[in-house]
Amino acid sequence: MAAEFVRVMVQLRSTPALANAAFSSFAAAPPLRFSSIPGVQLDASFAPVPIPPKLPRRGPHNLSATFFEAQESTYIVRARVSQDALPDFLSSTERDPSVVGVFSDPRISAIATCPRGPMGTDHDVERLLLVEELQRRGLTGAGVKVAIVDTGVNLAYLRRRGKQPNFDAQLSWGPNTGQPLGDMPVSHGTMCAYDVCIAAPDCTIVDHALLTSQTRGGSAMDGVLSDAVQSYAVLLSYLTSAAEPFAGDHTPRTLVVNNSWGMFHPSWDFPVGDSQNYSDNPDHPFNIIVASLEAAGADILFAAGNCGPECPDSRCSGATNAGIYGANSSAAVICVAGVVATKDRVGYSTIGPGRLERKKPDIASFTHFAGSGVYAADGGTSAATPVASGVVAAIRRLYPSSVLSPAELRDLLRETADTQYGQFNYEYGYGVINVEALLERLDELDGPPSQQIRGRFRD
Amino acid sequence: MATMIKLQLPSAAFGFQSVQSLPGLAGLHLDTQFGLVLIDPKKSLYVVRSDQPVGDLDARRRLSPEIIGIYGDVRISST
Repeated sequence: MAAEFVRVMVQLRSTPALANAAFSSFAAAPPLRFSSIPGVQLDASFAPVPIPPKLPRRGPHNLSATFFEAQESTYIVRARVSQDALPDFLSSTERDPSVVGVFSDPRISAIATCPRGPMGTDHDVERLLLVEELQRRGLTGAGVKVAIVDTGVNLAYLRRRGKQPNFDAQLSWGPNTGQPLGDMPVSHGTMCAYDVCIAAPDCTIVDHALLTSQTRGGSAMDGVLSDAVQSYAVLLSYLTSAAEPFAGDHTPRTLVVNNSWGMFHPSWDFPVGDSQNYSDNPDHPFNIIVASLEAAGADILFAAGNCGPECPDSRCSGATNAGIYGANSSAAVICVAGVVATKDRVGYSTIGPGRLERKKPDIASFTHFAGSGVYAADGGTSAATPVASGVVAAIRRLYPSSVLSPAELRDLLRETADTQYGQFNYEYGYGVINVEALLERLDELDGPPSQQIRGRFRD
Repeated sequence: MATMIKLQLPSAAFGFQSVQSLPGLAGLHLDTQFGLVLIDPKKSLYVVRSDQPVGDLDARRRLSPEIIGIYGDVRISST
């Protein structure tokens, strides 16, 4: 679909007013003829840029090859033109003697990073997430349940690695009878739990060992959506069950749900348009239960995926421009892209749009750092997602869903994100997660949170 | 690929055994371990799972209007 606006650069013949405006906001300069055309927005914040005159080219023996005057000085200004106004704009500028030319102003992008090894450590991520400040404010995730919907969590391993979260065995779940939830083999899920604990060291881990079905999927870290439906049904039942106020339990409850998984290729699904399809079908049972869980008060975070074009996962099988599938792109979730500590996008982070909600991913978060020790690097959008989940859990300590709904928190995360290229884009979403700006916005709600304990959790 | 069958049921009292008895699901082996799972409390939507092909969905729906549709049990993997 064509963009609604076209960005252009307009080269203008030098005038004293333009020269004057080159050192200040262009609002000080006289209006240009074409800027009065409806649908044309001159960028008043972009000071005109002088283009030096082109000097005559010298021929052999350092002699002028031809006789001609040096070209005049010109200036570049910037504008946005709506598609509807484009014909009038081009016609007007063609007749305008002050205009030398009109040029496209295409968007440029940093080259994504395809790291070979870890880039930074979890201590760097702590610093980037202002964990010290979060803790100073009491935003530790204490009392907040975080469901790791993954391969299973090993708490003993976390403790050996210096993380001491609590554990909710009762709410934990696995698709196979008798699984040692909380004491599962150390793998991907344990990495995710570790990464949640970067920002939310005092959270309560809920182990949902979804990706452990041994009779389905293609590998040990695979599963099927029906198991995810069961997992979510357990969480939905918890959120919607009657409160026990004498036990300090109130509704709506707060729950953060981390999902570092997804579908990797269209061949895993029915075709788009088929009623059985998942990727593009809001009526699919799993997409429905995701919306139900969010409506019940859960913050649901999903990885954007690892099918970015620069260095995709092999499971993508070449499908690197298909967008973000299914629930990972639901309007009811926070879809998380991956950046390294320098805030450059990792080349495997799937680029939007979303297949359910187009404007996805929502935000980018940090990945590919030495952290849990489960792997050489805590990587993939798998690690970026629990890093963001930890921030959400930390915030929820004093801002539960009864105070700030999941939709409101999603808006805050988007509005405070550190935007890349000044606007939403399909690589970074609304930008890199920005804890400083998030805390400032939370302070505006009604004063510094440390002075008003609004959480109602049992520690 | 297994199939998830979505149903809209009149009440929570309509349990798994009642679903198994629906004429529109006759001949289908439903996964008892999966059971009857609530996916939307407001609209009373549930799912059951079957490893068998459903066949003529329209015919089944005519017999049991509670049956809304069938959906793929798609493979998923860690990112």
